[in-house]
Amino acid sequence: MKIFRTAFLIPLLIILTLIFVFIIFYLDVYLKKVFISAGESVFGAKVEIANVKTSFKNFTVNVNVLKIGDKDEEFKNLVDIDNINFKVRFIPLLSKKVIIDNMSVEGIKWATARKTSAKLPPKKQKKEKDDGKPSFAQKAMSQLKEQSVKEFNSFPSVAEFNKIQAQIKDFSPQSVIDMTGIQSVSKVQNYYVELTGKYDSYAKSINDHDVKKLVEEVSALADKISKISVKTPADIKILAKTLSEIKDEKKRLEETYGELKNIKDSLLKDAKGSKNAFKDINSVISGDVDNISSKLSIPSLDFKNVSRMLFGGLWVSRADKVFHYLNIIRKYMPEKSKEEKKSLQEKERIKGRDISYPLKSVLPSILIVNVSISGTSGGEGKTGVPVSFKGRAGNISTDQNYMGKPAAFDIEGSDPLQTMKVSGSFDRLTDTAKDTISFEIDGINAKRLGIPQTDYTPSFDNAKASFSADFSLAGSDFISNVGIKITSVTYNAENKNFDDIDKKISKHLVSLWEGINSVNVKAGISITQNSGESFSFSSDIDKLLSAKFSAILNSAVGDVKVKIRQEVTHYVESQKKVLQGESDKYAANLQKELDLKLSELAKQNNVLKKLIEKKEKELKLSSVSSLSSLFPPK
Amino acid sequence: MFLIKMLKSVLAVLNTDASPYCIACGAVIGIFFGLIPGFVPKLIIFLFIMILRVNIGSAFACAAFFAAAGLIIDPLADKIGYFILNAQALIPLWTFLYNLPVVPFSKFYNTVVMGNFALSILFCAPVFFAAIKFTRYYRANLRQKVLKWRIMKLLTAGSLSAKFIK
Repeated sequence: MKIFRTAFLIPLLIILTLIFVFIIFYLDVYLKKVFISAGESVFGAKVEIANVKTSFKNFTVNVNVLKIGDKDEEFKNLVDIDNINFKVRFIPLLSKKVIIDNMSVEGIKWATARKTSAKLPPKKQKKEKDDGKPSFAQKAMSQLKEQSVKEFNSFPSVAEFNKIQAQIKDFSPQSVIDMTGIQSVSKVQNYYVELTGKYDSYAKSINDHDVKKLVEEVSALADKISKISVKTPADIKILAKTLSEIKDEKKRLEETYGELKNIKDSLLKDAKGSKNAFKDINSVISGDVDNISSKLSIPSLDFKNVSRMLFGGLWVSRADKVFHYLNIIRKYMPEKSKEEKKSLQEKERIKGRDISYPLKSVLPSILIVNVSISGTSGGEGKTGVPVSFKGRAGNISTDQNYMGKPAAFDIEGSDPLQTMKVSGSFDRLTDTAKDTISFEIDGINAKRLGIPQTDYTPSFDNAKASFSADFSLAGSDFISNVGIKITSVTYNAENKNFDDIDKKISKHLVSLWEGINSVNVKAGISITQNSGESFSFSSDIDKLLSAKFSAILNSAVGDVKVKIRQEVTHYVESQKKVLQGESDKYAANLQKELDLKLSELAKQNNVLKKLIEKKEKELKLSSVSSLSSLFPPK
Repeated sequence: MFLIKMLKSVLAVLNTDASPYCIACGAVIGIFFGLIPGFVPKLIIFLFIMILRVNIGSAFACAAFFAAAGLIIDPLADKIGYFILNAQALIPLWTFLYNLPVVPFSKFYNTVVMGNFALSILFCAPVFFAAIKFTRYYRANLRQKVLKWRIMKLLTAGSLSAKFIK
């Protein structure tokens, strides 16, 4: 008796054969479509694959020429891979598990040029956009990006130099200087006010001394004494008394003379002093010039903006890009969910209950044990000498506990001029996912960094750059740091567009960058739940440029200072001349008056002196003769 | 409608000259097909029904009967399945099967699946022997009488019965 029903087996075999034939002929096409569709949904840009070849003999898959477009740059590829080859274990496939022991990825290139747009058709874009609610870090990063666009684009420009130049050129001291408020002028005026005050006090003192009256009194007394003739002893008494009076008057006359002489001496001293009173006026004028110059509204350029403009925006956009791809990795290598963290024993179902049993080293849904990677930093649309690199990645898995190691990659490449090292780790072993990526690149052409070009910043086309950068996403905390050093920086004014700019400006700009041939930048972005978002940035060029700009500005402002000095000096001198003339005239009049009085007093004094001598002699003789008459010779 | 279909297929099987063993074997496989829920187990059993030279009619008739019965039996199957899946002596076996690559697709670890599978095994022998005995008895004593029934004529009247059934 036959056990099997041949009437069914034959159609079954035919159906199975048809399925097999379909797989043989159409599986590759189907897989290609699946890969493209999955890639486009992940990267949000066009994905192109030349062909996919599968082999049932070894269960190998070969993907030829994979190009993933860059969603941010329409005509660039994010990644361009020549060949991907891997072998899948068959038995786990039956349990819907993709286990790959060895994979090779050859000819990796990035940022290569595309001939067609990488944008997805609107329908696919719509599908791709639905990513759910953004996380805290994603929101913070987008805020930081917006902020950076606003901040880093508001940098000073050549127009600012032009403004300064115009201001200096058209500067008129008369229009901005109020001479009444100038210290040097005030000093001159105050000095002469003080000097005139002194002269006034001298004049008052001179007037207080009524020389004429004194002379008259003395003359009257002199007349009186000259009329006295000693004939009797009583006359001697009168003469002696009058003589005493006239001596007192003489003394008063001499005192007055002395006082007026002192006034004259002081007057002469002050008049002489006024000639040399403004020896230090030049230092006061210099002070005035500086003070006026400082009040000029010459704009100062914030050179902190220069490095921030050059590297700040660039850095934020790079960090944002890395952050975006770290989030994609997080999406497809998610953190352990709370449900997953609980060990399930029983699950109530409508139809019965599923009993779980301990899994003995159960394979994860996807496991790629080892990936060998090779590629080049060059590629279509790129300039400079490309660097070939190779490396490995491993432990890429939906359940890292199976291998007990985090997924990681390590790539190194070098040639005599350039070295690069990129490594990363994606840790899902603990409850908090931690992703890190670090770059160390040395000797690359700085042009490839995409530093913005402006008329007043140097060209980085021939400069060399080295940088080290770290990106870390632990939980939702994103931290990144970068250190960039650019050498062989040159500023060539001939290549700049200075059509509307004064020729002097280009000279200033050249001297501004002269001697600056390297730039060091340090930047950091931190977005954490506890301390929010922060962006730190520092560069040595800011200080250098500020110092150089000050020097340039000082030299340009020097012309203005000369104009101001000339104006102030001229005004001070004219004021001085007028006031000196007036004070000299005043002093001369006083001196003349004093001389007159002094000569009169001196003359009178002489007269009195002679008179007193005469009268004293007379008195002496009279006294002797009187005494002789009282005592006649025996 | 379902009952009429089932009755028609049962009568059709009984009235043919098929071997009572084939009918009995079909009925036995039909128990599994009817009782065990899930797409993958049913697909496997279906392939058995089609590949093995068992009576297809009796298999589907029996499956239909036990599928209906399963609605009542499921709570009992759940308890039996739970007992079997948690039996200490069997846990190593279940763990081994659970760790195999393809076997878990059968959902053997589900209490209703396992309970119904156990009940199916339990019903195998009684149904097998009962089917042989009943087929023989029917053919010897009831076949002629049943064929004379008006309803039988109606059911076996080809296109007419088809119209009636519709």
